[in-house]
Amino acid sequence: MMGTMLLIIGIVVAVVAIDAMRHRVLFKMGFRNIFRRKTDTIIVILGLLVATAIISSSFCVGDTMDNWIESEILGDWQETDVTVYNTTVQGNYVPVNHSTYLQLKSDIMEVDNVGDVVGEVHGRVSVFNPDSLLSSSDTRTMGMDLHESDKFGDFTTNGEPFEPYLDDGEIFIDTKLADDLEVEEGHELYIFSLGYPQGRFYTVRYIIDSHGRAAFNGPEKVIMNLNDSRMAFGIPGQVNYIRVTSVSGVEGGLRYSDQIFEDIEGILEEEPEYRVLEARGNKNEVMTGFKDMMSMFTDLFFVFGSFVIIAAIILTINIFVMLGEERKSEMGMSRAIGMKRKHLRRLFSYEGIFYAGGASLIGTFVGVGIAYIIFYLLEDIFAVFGGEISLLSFFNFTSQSLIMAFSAGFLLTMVTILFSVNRISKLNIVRAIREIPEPPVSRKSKKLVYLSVAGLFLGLVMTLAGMGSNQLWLPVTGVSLVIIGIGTISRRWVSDRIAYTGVGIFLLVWWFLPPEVIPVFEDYSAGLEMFILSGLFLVTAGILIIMLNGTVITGVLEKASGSGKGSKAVVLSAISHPLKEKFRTGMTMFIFALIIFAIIVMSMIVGIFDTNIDRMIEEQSGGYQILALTAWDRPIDDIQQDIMQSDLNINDFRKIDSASIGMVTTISEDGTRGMDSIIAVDRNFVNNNTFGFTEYLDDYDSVEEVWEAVMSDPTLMVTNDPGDDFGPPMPDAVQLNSTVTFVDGDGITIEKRVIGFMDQFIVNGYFISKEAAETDFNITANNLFFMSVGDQVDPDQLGRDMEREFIMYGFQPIVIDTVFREVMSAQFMFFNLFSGYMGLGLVVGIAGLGIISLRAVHERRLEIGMMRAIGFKRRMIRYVFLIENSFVTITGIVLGSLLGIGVGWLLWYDGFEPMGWNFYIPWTSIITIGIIAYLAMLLTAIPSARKASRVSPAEALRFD
Amino acid sequence: MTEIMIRSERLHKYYEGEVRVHALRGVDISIAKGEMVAMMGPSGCGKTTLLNCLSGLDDISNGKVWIGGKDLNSLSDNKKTELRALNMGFVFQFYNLLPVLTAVENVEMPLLLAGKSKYAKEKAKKALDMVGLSHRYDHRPSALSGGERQRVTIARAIVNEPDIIWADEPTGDLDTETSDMIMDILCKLNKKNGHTMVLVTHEDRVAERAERIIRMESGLIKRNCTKGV
Repeated sequence: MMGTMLLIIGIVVAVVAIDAMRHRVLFKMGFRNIFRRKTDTIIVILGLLVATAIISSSFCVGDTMDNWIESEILGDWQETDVTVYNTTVQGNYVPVNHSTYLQLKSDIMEVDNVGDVVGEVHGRVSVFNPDSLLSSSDTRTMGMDLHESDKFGDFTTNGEPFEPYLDDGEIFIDTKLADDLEVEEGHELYIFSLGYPQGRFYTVRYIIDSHGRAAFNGPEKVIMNLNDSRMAFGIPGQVNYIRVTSVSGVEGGLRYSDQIFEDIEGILEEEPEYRVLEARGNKNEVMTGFKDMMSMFTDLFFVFGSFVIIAAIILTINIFVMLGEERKSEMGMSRAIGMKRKHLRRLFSYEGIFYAGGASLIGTFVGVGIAYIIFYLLEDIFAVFGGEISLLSFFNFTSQSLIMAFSAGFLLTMVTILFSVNRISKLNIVRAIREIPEPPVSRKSKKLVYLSVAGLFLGLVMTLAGMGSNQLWLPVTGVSLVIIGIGTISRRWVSDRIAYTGVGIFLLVWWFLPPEVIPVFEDYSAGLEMFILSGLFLVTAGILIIMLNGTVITGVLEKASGSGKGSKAVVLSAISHPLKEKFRTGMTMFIFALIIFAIIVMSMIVGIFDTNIDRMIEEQSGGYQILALTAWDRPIDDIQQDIMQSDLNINDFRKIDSASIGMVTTISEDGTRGMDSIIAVDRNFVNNNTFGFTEYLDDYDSVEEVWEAVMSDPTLMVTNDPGDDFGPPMPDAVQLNSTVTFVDGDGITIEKRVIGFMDQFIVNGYFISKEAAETDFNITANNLFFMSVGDQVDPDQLGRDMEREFIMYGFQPIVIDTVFREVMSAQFMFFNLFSGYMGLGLVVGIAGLGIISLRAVHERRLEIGMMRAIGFKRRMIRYVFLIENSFVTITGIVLGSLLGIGVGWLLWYDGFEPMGWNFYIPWTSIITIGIIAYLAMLLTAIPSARKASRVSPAEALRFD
Repeated sequence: MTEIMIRSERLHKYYEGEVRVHALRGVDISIAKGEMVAMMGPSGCGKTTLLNCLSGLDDISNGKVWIGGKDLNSLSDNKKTELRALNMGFVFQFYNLLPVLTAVENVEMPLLLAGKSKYAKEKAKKALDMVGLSHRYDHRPSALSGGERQRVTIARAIVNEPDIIWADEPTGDLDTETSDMIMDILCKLNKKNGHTMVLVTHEDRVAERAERIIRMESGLIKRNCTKGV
């Protein structure tokens, strides 16, 4: 890709360079044009660099994410390349005898590129520091033979490696755990585990760095010797976790992990005693999987950035059209004395290549700066999740990305310039010399008819192709093109005003049609591309209606301007200009409207979520306030009794329902296996929960009947709605009434039918009865609890108290309201970040307006002189320019806002209204955004307005 | 005694730049109310500069200018602008109409600026009628011929019933026939409405229509000939 782009750039530059050698005079003219007005050149480059900056920032976001993932994965996995283990349905690691492990180790050592193998005992414990009274309920523990595992990296403390040694009853803990629990070396910690359910003291021998051997699977860890860990997890003489390293070190292992993983899978199939284990972890696969997942994040920046890129393209066209208009007279003269149209194109292309090169180069580095700011702001967002991720420290950009961004920006700018230059070069010599405006395109222009017919045809093809593709954007875009095509053709018979106003109205109606009006599209898939397309077509529609109905606007504003001395004159002069320069004004208005549209849609989504958050929490919580899990291996048989025996007050609880959660293998239709959760619930839960359902089979008349069926028939179950955008990804998009195949511990397949979809995504999995879970999967332990608390009880405090009281169970409470609000707050911050990113488009719009108004002062110098001569005071000239710019900006802002509110309403109507959510328009945000955009515009408009007001009438008229 | 409308004493104008240009070198002039004066001279002699300085379009470097007894030097930029808006009309060689406005909108502009928005449109139409453009109210300048544009400019200049009309090469861009027509209109207005008119021209045929011809050379008035004297 990069090679192709560089090749294209090379060809473009070479062709232009050779051409320039043959047309040196033209090249000289083009080159000198750059330095004619230095301020203008700076503004032109600033405007042109935006597209490249956005592309560059997106690449930089991707590079940083990759760097973070690589650092995290390599940091966690270190020397480990493949892991071998298995878990029971209740989540415990499956142990194997040491002799079996040794035999397996010797077999694995035969595999190509394997460096070493180590057998360990892994599990989770709860740690309590009696000195600080601080605890950690769910702490990863690794038990290892410190000598056998020496090829898996060093142990270090404060960065210094040491020779590790652990007696029985001694542990290493890492700095993270030590900090959390305020532990120092030599302290004693009380640890609860399966083998010691009542707890046991261990002495901290070293506080180690999360590095080398100790880094595996991340920080916050306890390390024991192999014997102690076997006792802690009740598996004497056994291991439950095998790690394999390649011969190639930390990074080099990525090359071999796929091959080693596959070979080990083969070995595990060979011997019956190996079959209890599975090859589970593959460093390269984990790395690739994470990168793929995070690329979605990078893609989002591309998608949202595309609004800005579109705005930047339009700005580029605008800039060059303006340059063309400014030099129209001299171009006309050049044509008169023998310069051909192609020479004009050359002239601008030579100039353009310098602009494109300069702007893309600067834009590439500006993009890096933008990306840095993004990650700086992301720090706050990640802080919501515990503040442990500092992406800024992984900030990175590769030379490859910079070259790609430069190339993409350069080519995009060049293509846009060439398109604009083609338009500029088509001038009538006499009209150009005398600076007479070009007449409108003839109604009978064959070229326009051909273009319209081509658009119509393309629209029809897209519509028809779309009907078979299940992709919504195809038919929706197709019909839009058909509308535009018909409208343009109709110019032959009706006025431009009627034709294009009609196009605008029909486009608005088409894009705002509620989905049920055209039920055929209801099942079509739609992604973020619809967001971009709706913005493009709706804003185009709005601009067409406004620009073609300028007389109405002028009339209204003229009336509204009152009868103040000169105010009508000012308003009339100010409004007439932008409405006459339809292309230029329309384009600038388009930029503002498009960006404001995108930002407002985001604000609408945030506003709707924010308004309905209480309702959402109520729906999602199912009538419970606290959800809690225990460690897999330490369930609570009777939580009510435990509460009564503890310092907790049973009266603080309104209801407590116990459930079991287990992981079970599922088989999809194509035979691939996956792991899914089974949630086993009893009648108490069924009677108490208020979870809603999005859908259930017609065989049942009520939610109660659905639950009753699940309780009484072990072959029936309910699950989360796969159509819920917020919910978990469901295997093969489970259908209502479809059958899911499970595999039990003995390898026997069991089929169960889905009879309803729950309207919640807090607890994900297949809900079945406790009896069915026990019979089919031997899931019996109570390790999931749904709790409702009294009105006067603070669920956060109660959660903390329960965690402390039930530390021996590894009790992890989740206060639904708190967690939900935290997650939503982070989501809002993401939305706001993307809005801010798109807000860069406003910079484009403002730059565009700045260029236009600055140019307008040059262009209309004579006119300003005349206005001053006939009685316009300086301040009136200032007002004329400010009102003119304000008109363009405010119209763009209002149009974008209205369309954004419209699309927000459509999203609500389609997605949230059926859920009973309230519609909300965030006026404060909308008005704030509008004011910021307007004030920013004033910053660029005021200097040109002042410049215009200072034009000396005599000078202007004398030098005409 | 004849009322003096425009007067200057030792009027100097310098243009600063890489080379300092002394455009007016102490011009003394008096123009009576209702008089029609033509200023002639070779290119660069200072005709337009004098018109600009007398009309308040340009600042003077030295000397004094009075319009209807008011000392221009003592007026702020705003006051000068108001003076122009209320008491003066301008006709330029290249018409200098606002291209985005229609003929009637261009003509009503001085009325709107003077705060006379009531009946502004009607008055503008009347002014256009006076210059024979009743059929061109809603045409933009680009849709008018050169002569028609200049007539719109004249209509704009007279719509406010000003005391003075300044015309800088009003026929410079027109053919003879159209040029005669424009001068007919200007003379008629001068006679009928009593506007004081100052024309800058290099055409003898146009200048001869004025009551007095002022000939300039190198920033000074060389000859001052009144018709019939």
